[in-house]
Amino acid sequence: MVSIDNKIDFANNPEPRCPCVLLLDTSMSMKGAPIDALNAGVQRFRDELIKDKLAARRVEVAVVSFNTHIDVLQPFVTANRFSAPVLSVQGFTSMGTAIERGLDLIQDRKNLYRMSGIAYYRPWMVMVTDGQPHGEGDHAIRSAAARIRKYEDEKRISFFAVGVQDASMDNLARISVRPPIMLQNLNFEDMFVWLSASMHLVSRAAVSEQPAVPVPNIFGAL
Amino acid sequence: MRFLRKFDGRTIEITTDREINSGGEARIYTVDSDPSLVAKIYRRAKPQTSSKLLTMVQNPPPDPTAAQGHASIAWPVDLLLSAADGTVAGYLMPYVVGAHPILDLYSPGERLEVCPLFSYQYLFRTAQNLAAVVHALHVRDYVIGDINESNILVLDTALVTVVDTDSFQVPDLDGGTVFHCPVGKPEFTPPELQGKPLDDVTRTPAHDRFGLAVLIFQLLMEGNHPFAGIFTGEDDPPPIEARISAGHYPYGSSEAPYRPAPFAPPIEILPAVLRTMFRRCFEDGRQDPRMRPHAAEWVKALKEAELDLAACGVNDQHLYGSHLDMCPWCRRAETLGGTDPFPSKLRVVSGRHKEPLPATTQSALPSSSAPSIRAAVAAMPPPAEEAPPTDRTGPWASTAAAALLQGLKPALGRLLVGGADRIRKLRGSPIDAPSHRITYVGRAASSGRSSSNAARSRLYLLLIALAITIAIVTIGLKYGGYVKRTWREWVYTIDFGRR
Repeated sequence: MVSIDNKIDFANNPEPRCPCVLLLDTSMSMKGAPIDALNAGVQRFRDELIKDKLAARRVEVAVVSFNTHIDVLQPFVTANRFSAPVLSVQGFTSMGTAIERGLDLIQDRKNLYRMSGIAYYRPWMVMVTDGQPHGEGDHAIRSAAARIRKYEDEKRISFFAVGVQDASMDNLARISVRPPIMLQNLNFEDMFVWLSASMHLVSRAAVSEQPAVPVPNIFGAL
Repeated sequence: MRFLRKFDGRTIEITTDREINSGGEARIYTVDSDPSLVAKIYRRAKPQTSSKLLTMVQNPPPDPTAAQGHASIAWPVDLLLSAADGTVAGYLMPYVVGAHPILDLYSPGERLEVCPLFSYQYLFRTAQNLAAVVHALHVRDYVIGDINESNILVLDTALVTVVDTDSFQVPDLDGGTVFHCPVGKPEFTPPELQGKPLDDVTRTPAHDRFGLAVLIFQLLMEGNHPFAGIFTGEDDPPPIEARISAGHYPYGSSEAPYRPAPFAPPIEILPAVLRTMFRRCFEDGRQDPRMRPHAAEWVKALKEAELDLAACGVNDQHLYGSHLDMCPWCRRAETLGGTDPFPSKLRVVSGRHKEPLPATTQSALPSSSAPSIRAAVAAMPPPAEEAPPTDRTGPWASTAAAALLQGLKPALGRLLVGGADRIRKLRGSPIDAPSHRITYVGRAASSGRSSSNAARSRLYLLLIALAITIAIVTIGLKYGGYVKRTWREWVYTIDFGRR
């Protein structure tokens, strides 16, 4: 059954939806400048997103932070009602579990869209991390990677991995089907501006094809 | 930034803080030196557009609302050349102040924010006006091509303006061909153009008619796309454009694997005439695009349907087709936890229109004075048989009585017929101001009251009136002679001063 809040949301805004999950590493190593820059980046993402009227109504953002624990800081909400949550750091990096959680969130959302007759574009998931999985079993990241590969093959998700600071790019390359993106100098702003521009294009373009979004390999290189 | 007007010769100064809109292709700025114009400046130079724009500036179509002082078509007024190298940087067009993109008005949530008093009648009128503009363009061999939710602007008076006219398909008078429309949005693209590269397709008005019908559907169905619905198949639901290609219109007669979208208004809120036109466009039109209704057909049908709108007795902002028994908007507000898609003027003025209606709202029963009149009539003895008139009454009395009855008969007849369910139709006067009061006779929409009760109580009132008339006539006949004599005697007593 569809809750009354969702019913009202879909009745007041019957636009097709474009779900986007931000999977954000909030482990201890992100403490200080990195987490501050990440907070600012997410805020910038929101501000850029709502500049486009259509994207403001079609893009739905969810924020999942992960350290030792997984926290859904923001369940799916349309961009025009999204406000950036404040991220704080602690613990280790349960990356695999986080990815699975993000994928489950997306699956549940798609089920809701199906029940409500709401059309949707291919969901995006963007993972930002500065390290590698730590504090969870090895199988977690392997099954997560397999699930991502399966969904990418079936064109059911677009997954991007963004590596910050000392992130192991090799490791990310094993998880992500697309080449991982390297973020230098904590330039989250550029990365999130690119992401919001991509969301603008997706919310306007053909549903079946991914638009030709230029994906830089490196952000913030001097 | 400095630009040169090609035909006018003057320079135009544009500052970035004058930006009012921006898209992937261009930015729009107001022009300080001329507040009636805006400038569209391309992000990247488009050399292929310059000859098209040139032709357009030199051959403007007549604007159907020029006499009303409104620009229906944001046609290029002049080209803007870069002051640096003389290349075409953009163009000037009329500025329609205070207009909203059409999607802000058909989307219920946005409408509550930007124009809460834009009632269903205004949505009908917007659809009609849009069809009228499209017709005016088609008649002159222009094809819009990229008709979509973002390049139609609407004022709060329901007047419409088509913008982004630089992407129109325009006859190339020199080359004998056309300047193509290279863009389009999949949700508005007809099945025969789906998946095709649009750079060199010569479009026809039949292509436009598809996108026009999609927008009209969205205007009348609270923003829902005609091809939206619940997919009854196994896998992921196909995207909208795939459904368009397959002709899977959920409200059609074929077995499309879709159920109507559950939170859209029921399709029955539209009169049958419009439902048929949508079916012709989205179902029949797939095999034969000539089946799609012309823009002029939409104008006529929408105009007539608007005249058939009735108002709800609970909230006069609730207007709905008179073919319905109950107010669909009251019901919709109930199912959406009190969110009223067309809040009353009172709620808007008091700023409470975004709040849900309180659950403890009152609901009316039929007027309690009606049963007592009915009871009184039922208790009345039938009118007594009167004696035939005597000679004393004189010929004039009987003639008068006969004439009275004759006169009453057609009036009685009309009233009896009118006693049946009758609603005085909405006058379709032009709406000039948002606060224009529509005069109409609404009918109570509270579910308890049925139209046959109203008819019956009317009938009883007529019978009483008839009984009273008969009583007066009979008394007149009986005592008419006495009244005549008394009158004559009184006249004779008046002293006229000469005998």
